[in-house]
Amino acid sequence: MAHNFTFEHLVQAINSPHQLVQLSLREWESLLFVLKTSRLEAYLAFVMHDSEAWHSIPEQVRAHLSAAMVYAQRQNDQVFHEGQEIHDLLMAQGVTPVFLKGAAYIVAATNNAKGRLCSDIDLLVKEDGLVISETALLNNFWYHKTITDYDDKYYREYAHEIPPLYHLTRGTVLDLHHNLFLPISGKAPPLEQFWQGVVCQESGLYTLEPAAMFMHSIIHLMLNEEVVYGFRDMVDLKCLAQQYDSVGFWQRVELIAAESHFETELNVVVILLNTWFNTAYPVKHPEGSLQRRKLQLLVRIYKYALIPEHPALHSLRSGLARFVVFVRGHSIKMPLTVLVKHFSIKLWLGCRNWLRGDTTADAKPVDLGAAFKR
Amino acid sequence: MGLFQAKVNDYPSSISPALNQIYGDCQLKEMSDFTVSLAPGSIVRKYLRPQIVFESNTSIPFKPLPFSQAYALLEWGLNWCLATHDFNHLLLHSAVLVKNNKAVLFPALPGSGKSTLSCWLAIQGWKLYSDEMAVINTDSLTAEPLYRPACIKNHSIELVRSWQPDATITKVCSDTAKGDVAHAKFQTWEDYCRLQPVEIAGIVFPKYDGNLSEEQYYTIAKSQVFEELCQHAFNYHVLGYQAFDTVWRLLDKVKVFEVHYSNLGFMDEFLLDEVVGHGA
Repeated sequence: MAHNFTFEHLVQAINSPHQLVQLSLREWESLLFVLKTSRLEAYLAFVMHDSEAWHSIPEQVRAHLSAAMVYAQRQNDQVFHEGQEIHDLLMAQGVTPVFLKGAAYIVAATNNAKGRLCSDIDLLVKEDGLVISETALLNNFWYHKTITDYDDKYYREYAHEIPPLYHLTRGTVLDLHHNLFLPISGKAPPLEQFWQGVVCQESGLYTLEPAAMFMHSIIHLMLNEEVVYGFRDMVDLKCLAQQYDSVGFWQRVELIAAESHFETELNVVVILLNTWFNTAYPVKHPEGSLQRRKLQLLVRIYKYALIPEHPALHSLRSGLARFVVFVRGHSIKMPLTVLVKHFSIKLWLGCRNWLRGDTTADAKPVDLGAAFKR
Repeated sequence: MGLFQAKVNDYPSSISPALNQIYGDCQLKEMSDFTVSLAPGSIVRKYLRPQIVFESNTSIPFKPLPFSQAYALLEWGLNWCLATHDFNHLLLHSAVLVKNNKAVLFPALPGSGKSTLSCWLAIQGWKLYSDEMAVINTDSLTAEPLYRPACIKNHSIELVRSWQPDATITKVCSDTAKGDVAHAKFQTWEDYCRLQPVEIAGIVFPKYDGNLSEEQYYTIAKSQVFEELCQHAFNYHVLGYQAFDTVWRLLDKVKVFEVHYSNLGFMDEFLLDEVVGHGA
C-alpha cells in the first residue's frame, strides 16, 4: 500500500482484511482515520478480531480497534434494550413496530450487525397506527424537541416520518416512519410487499425480510440528498447480499424493486457492489438506450459521491458528484414548487447562521463537565 | 500526550510558543492516534471578531471560541479526543498525583482548588500523572501517566508563578468560560518517559476553604463515593458493566477521604501520613 491513502486502499481493506497485517503504522494511521469518519472502524475491528490476523496487528492499532468494538458493542446492547421497550410498549397498543436500517441489522443479527453504529433507531408502523404510537411514546418518557414551525410542518405534511422523538433519560433518538419515502414525492413505494414479508426475529422483535431490508437500504441510500455514510451503507448492502445470496433472494428483490419502481436504483447499487467487492450479482439491464445511458450516468455519479467525505480522499470529482446527488435528492423528494419554497427558506436560515459564523449550530458548547454525561 | 499522540495539522501561529513550551520536547511515534486542527470559524469571522474552531478528523465537537482562546481550546479538544475514543481504560474526571510509587486521585469538583493543589504538589516533588483525567487500567487498577499540562485558572496562575518563578506556564487566555486560563507543566519528556503505571492508594475529595482555622478530614461511605466516581467517569456509560466492576474493585482497595484545608502544606503531609506512606 502506497503512503498516499486512496479510496482503492479503503475498498481493499474491506475486501481483504487479512492482508492488513502487512501495513506499516503510517498506513494504519491513514486507514484508521478514514474508517472512523466512514463509521466502519468497528465493523473492520470485529472482522479482524474473529480472524487469526488479530494477533499480528500492532498493539497501538489494536487499542483503537478494541475501543471501537467496546463502543459498538455497547450501542448494540442499547439497541436491543431500547428495541424491546419500544416493542412492548407499542404491541400493547395493538401496533406492530418494524425495525429498519441499523437497528434492524442489529436486531436480526445480519453479517454487518457487529460493529454497526446507528445514530438513531428507525421504526416503521402502519399509517393507521401512527397517532396511537406517537401518543403512547409521548406518554412514556419520549418527547419532541422544540423545532421551528416550518420544520414541524415539513415533517407532518411532506415526510414519511414524524419529527424525531428523544428519550427523556437515555437520550436515544427515535424516528417513527409510516412510509419508506416521502409521500409528497409521489414516489413513496406501495408498502404491501414490504409488510407482507415482515419477520419476527429470535428476540421477538420485527424487521423486514432480507430482500425488503436490502431494498429499503437501497431506497434510503439512493434517494437521500446526503450520502455522508454512503460507503458504510454500501458495506451494509455487500454484507446482506453476501449473506442471503440465492436465486430466490434476487427474485424477491427484483419483484419489490419493480413494484415500487426503484429498478434503476437497484441496478446502480448492484453494479457498484460488483465493481467494488468483486461479486457477480445479477443486473437486469434496462431496455432503451436512454434508460441505459441514465443508468450509466447514475453509476458514474454514485461511484464518486459514495467515497467517504474525508480530507484524505477528497477530490473535485467526488465533491461535484455529491453536489449532483444533493440536487437530485431534493428534486426527487418533492414537486418543484414545493422544493423552491423549501429551498428558499432553508437557504435563508443557512445564510443567517453562516454569517454569524455559527457553522456548528448543532454542536455543544465547550463544557467538558457535561459534554460526556448524559 | 504520552499515552496517545495527536497530530496538529493546522493551527494559528499565535499558539506556536505555547505548543512548543508544552509539547515541543515530545519524541514522535510513527503513528498518531488523533488528528486535530484549529481553524478560523468562517471567512467573515476571520476578520470580524475572529473565532477559532476545533476539529478532529472531520468532527467539530464544540462551538467556536474567540481567537485568543485557541490554545485553551486545543487542550480541551484533546481531552475530548481521549474521552470519546479511549474505551480501553476507565477515564475519570480527576487529577492523579504520585509519590512513593502510589497514586492519589482527586476527583474534580469545580471550584475545589483541584488544579492549584495539583500544581502545588507537583512543585513539592509529586509526579503529576494528569490534572484532568485519570486513565485507569481496568485489569490491574493502576493509573497510567499522561504527558499533559495542568490547567490553572485566575488567581492560581499568579500563585503558581510565585511558588516556582521559573515554572513553564503558557500565555494567559483571558475571559474563557472558566475565567483566565493558563497551562503549566512540571516535567520534561525525559522525566515523563521514566514514569510507570502505578497502584492507586487513595481517593481524596479536596475542598479548599481559606477561612478555615483548622484542617478537617473525614472518611466517606464507600457507597457514596461509588456514585460520585460513576458520575465523574467520562466513559462509564460506554464501558457499562466493566466500569461498574472497575470502580467497585478500586473502592475495595483504596482509602477514601474528604479533606477541607486552607493550608497546602498540610495536604502534602496528610497525603504522606494517611494515604501513600513516607516510602522507604
